[in-house]
Amino acid sequence: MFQALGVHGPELSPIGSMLLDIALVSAAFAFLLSAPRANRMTAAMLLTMVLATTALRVVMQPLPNVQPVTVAALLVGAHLGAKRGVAFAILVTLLSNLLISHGWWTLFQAIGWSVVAVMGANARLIEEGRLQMQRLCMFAVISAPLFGLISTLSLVSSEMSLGQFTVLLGQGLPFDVIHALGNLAFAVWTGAMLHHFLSGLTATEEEVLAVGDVHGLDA
Amino acid sequence: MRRSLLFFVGLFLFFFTPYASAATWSPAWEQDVGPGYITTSPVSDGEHVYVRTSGFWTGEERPEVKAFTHEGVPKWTRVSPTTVQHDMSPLLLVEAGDGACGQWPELLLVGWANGDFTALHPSNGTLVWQVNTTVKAWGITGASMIDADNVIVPTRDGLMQLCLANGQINFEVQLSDAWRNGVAKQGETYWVGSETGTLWGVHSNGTVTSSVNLSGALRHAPLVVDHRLLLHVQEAASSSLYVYNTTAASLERIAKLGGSPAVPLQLDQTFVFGDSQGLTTVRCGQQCLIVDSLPTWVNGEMAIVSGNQVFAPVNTLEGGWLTALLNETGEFANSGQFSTPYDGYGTSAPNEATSMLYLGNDAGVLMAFEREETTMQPEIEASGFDGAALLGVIGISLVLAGSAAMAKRSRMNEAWGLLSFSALVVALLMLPDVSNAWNDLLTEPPSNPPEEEWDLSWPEAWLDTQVVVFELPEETVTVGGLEGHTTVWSLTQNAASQSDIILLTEDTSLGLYLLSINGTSASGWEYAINGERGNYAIDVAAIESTLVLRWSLA
Repeated sequence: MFQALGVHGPELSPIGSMLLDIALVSAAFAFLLSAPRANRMTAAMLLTMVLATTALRVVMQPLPNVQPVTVAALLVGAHLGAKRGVAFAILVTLLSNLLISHGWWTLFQAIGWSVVAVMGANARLIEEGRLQMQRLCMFAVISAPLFGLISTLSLVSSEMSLGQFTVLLGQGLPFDVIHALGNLAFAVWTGAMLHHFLSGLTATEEEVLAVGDVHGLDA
Repeated sequence: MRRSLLFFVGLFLFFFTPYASAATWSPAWEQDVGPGYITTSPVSDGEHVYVRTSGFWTGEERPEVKAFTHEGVPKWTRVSPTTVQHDMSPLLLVEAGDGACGQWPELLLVGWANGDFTALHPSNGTLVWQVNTTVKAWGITGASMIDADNVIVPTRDGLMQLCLANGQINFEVQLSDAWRNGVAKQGETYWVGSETGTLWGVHSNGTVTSSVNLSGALRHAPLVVDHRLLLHVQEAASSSLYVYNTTAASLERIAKLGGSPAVPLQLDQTFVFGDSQGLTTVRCGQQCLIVDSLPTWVNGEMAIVSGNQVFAPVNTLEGGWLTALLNETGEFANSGQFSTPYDGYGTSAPNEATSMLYLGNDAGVLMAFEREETTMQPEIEASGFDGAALLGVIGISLVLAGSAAMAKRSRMNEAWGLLSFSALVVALLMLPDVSNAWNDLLTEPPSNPPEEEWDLSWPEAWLDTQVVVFELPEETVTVGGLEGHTTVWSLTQNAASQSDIILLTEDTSLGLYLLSINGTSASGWEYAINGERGNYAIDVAAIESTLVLRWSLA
């Protein structure tokens, strides 16, 4: 299993890799553009969030499957809505994988964290401006196997039977547990800080909306 | 914010500090063996340590070989009253054995600058046999080599093969003048360098088979890499690193390095060269390439300590020993300084024997250090007590107590923070073992017989041996007839070195991971044992004595 852990799926040609990059960047910008218009402050802060999470993921790479992106995606989704959450997830995945290891699996990881961000947007993690810490912890733990399942799909090939895929998923279980424990620790230690930071973004945007630039709530 | 910072700092300190630390040594004893320098490594058989001094030639003092117990008690001394030049030929300990010339007891072989080559009883320093060689100002200064029941001695101006049993001269050939050279064997040929810029090839029957002109003096035993030799050649104010292809008789310079080359060192497939500019590592596949360098000043011997730590004497006034971990890809990591009370100029490598490390330099003091963790080990084993487990239990108890105390004071966030952080740390520490045990449960061990993968075109001599197949993008390389390997990594390494294949690995907390084969990484390499996919890290995966190991791209 361990030697196979570095194996992520088919090797992409340079053109295939370029097309994947273009598709992911386009998707991220499409989600950003389709989200309610943001002021410059919000855009800059979201970019900061993307860069900081990317850097953190790269720095924490030596710790197997400790993923700072998951909790960040949950909270970005909860605060800024599903579309910006998905854009955040795609950009962080793409940028960090360009520094760590980029390929076919980037697509599946981006989808995995996008699903987490959408989950965060719909999980009522913020109620009346307050972070629901217990709910955040619960979804942080649930997100781990969900992300593991989606990213393992990158290994599916035409020769693989359902039984083999199940064994593959099973072999990843200890790593999913680490992911879940890491998410829990991130949620407890950094959840409040991220909530505070992202609340600032939301507030800034609300001020703009209050002066008449109303676009309605992001789904 | 402060909480988050604390979390990340804690996580990093916990996991990255242990990787940065190497084995620690505490002083055990020292013996002043001067006046005189210690210019070559002490040697040890576990019970005793033997050291030689070079001379100051002040008054009546002359170079000596001394023996001490591993606790530092002097055992015997042998003086060479006629030596008037630096003694730097490395000592050689030989186990008892027998051969064509008869039997020999345990021997301590000593080449002297007065031309004598002596075989001594290590137990008491008395003479077993002695051979005299040519002296032109000095006699033997190079490194001898054991070849089956013979010892090959680089003399002042040639090469000599002696029977270990009685010192009988099998052959003696005159080549050219030499100093601090050494001899290496490749196939049936001995290779030895000289001060006159010639690399000599001598057949094991004593016939001179080749001479190669170099750009300067060769002051070390050539390093043998399959059909090639690595040579670090001393020039006027610099040095050159050459690869000599003995099959094609071609010489290729791969690097221009600093002056006064050290005696190079080999660790698996990585070669370490030293000089007055620093250390340089080289790895050889189809081509030999520079991998890494480290600035320092090393002109003497070097040694590998604790498995993968380079110990190199720094030949400056401040001296000491430079230490650096050598990783699987030939890069240096965690370089540091090993200091002693007698730091100064030095050319002598340390000698590691069981839990002891013996060091000496130009100060002429033999220093013994003891590995710190091994001092605790016997106590733990004797009482059947697992110290690490006890520490773990204490740590977990403290964490649980701390969390409970915080919860009692209604500091729930702090309690959860401590608990979640500790759980993550414990889980990360357990991950390699848990992952392997989980794999054992989920998957069957490879049960296919090797015949499943057997190719009828392979030679019959490979039957009942270990065979490795590399499915490279451009060709399939098969190496068979290998024996005695117990892990996938060991077998793969051996096969790769026999077929000029370069392996790049990464050492991770879960074990060794093979990143690329001959520069190809693509989407990852997988191995299969007798057709069944491997489940473990390559340095963990145990293998049978008969198998077919196949490496293929995912």
